[in-house]
Amino acid sequence: MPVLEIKDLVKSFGDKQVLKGLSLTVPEKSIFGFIGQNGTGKTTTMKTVLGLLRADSGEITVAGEKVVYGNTPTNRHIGYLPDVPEFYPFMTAGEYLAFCGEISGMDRGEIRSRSEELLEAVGLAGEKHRIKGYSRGMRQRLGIAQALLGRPRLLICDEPTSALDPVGRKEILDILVRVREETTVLFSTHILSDVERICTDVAFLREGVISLGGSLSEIRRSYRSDIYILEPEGSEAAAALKAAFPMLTDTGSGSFTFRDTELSPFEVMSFAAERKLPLIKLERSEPTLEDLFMEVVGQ
Amino acid sequence: MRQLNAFIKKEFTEQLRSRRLYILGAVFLFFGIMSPAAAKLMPKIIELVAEQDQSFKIEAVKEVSALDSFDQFFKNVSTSLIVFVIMQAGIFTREYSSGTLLLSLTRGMERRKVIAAKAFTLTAVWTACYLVCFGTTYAYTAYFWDMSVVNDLWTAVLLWWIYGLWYIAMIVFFSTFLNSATAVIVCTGAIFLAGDLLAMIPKAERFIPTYLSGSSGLLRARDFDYTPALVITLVSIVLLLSASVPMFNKKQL
Repeated sequence: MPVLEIKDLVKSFGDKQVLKGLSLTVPEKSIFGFIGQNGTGKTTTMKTVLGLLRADSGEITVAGEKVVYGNTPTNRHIGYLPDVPEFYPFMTAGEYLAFCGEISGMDRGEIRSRSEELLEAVGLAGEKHRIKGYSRGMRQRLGIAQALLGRPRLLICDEPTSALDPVGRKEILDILVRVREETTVLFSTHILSDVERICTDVAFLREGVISLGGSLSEIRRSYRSDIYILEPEGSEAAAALKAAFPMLTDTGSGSFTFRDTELSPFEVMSFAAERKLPLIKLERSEPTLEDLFMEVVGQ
Repeated sequence: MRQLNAFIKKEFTEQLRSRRLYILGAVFLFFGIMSPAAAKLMPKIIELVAEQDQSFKIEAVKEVSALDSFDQFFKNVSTSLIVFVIMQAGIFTREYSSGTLLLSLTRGMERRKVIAAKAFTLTAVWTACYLVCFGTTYAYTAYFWDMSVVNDLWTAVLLWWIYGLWYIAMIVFFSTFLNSATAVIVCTGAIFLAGDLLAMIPKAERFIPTYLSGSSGLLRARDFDYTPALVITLVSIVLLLSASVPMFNKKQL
């Protein structure tokens, strides 16, 4: 059973329809990258899953239970990390986790042991200062700790790395990989390198619907148009090739790139062999997620 | 119940660590001391002014009694209430602007319990501050003057405390749909002004909650009837708090 299932979700703000029938399935124990440009409705989708926004139509189920607007009981299955998590600045990390545990109805002993375990895991063990003095990275790590406190089946993270420096980003991504053992992670982002690094599944959100989704490896297999790098030796060979194949893209460093949907690499090789044009290399390159994303968004 | 207790504990920790409770305590204590002090010192001040300024003529300086001290108390406590409203008007809106409430709600915190916890905290803080103010005034007044001249002190004090609760109910109600503390203060002030304007109609005066702020009249005579204003105040407190729940449930955070 998928941990999260969204069917035909529609949500408008005034005249603007942000989600136009979005459907999405998040498999259990996956790290699911929810990708989209800014303003495409990623946060709206997440807030609707959390029952914080009322959907115009559509159905959302979490662990098989239907999400309702307001105090949705499905939130007991979910841990949530907003893009900029805000905590009570007058509390310490331990006090905040204790507060979260109390309002979640956790057993007091479990709150203590789980808090210690999570603070250790996110590198905040022994931190006695109040939250108001925390850096952005520390807040983000505390955010993950609070989200994981109740051992949720689904951890929803809204752009968890977008405001962090490279070190902070690495720390957060490492934590997300580690927690996959016990929970499913759904995280929205527009940083494609983060998705490539840790995600097992992805969904591209575009114009209010999922334009492409599934396991990352399958998408790569089924959707790819390979990119080739061609490096001729000398300017004469380069000019001859460019004249014969205008679709070659000059990288500016003495080589060209082309897609196999536009030009066959065998055609290039036989052309070069017939005219005895020296080549340094003709190499196939794996399409990056960015290439896929650009293809999906049509740029 | 654990949710409610945890949230109330959080509210009190915030009141303490943000120093709001200390500041309010100091303000109420100051006015608590000032009430008997002003009553005690006023004749001497008037005499001093008269000595220095010959144009200032006094027919006779009346003898100060416990009644003057409590009169001062009821004047000062209205100023203290304004300070209280200004300092506590952001109890909800601070959470909206910072986004701190969002995480609590996604953890299953019930919205009606958020309202209950905040209303309880405001009531407790108001009660404690009011007791500090009144207790200080009472102690000094009982020490300096004869208390037997004071009628119905406890009723007057109780009515003023309930009048304070009416403002708390307004803070809670307006906070469930307004997003800034300033807007909450403006709306609360507007209701107070509307009450004052209505009170200018003689037949309406006794039915308006602001009538309770004149409860010091009980100290001197027993012919004031505060019952209609009290009933309307209590009913409006219940209505404001009850209406806050559906309003807050509709609020998108």
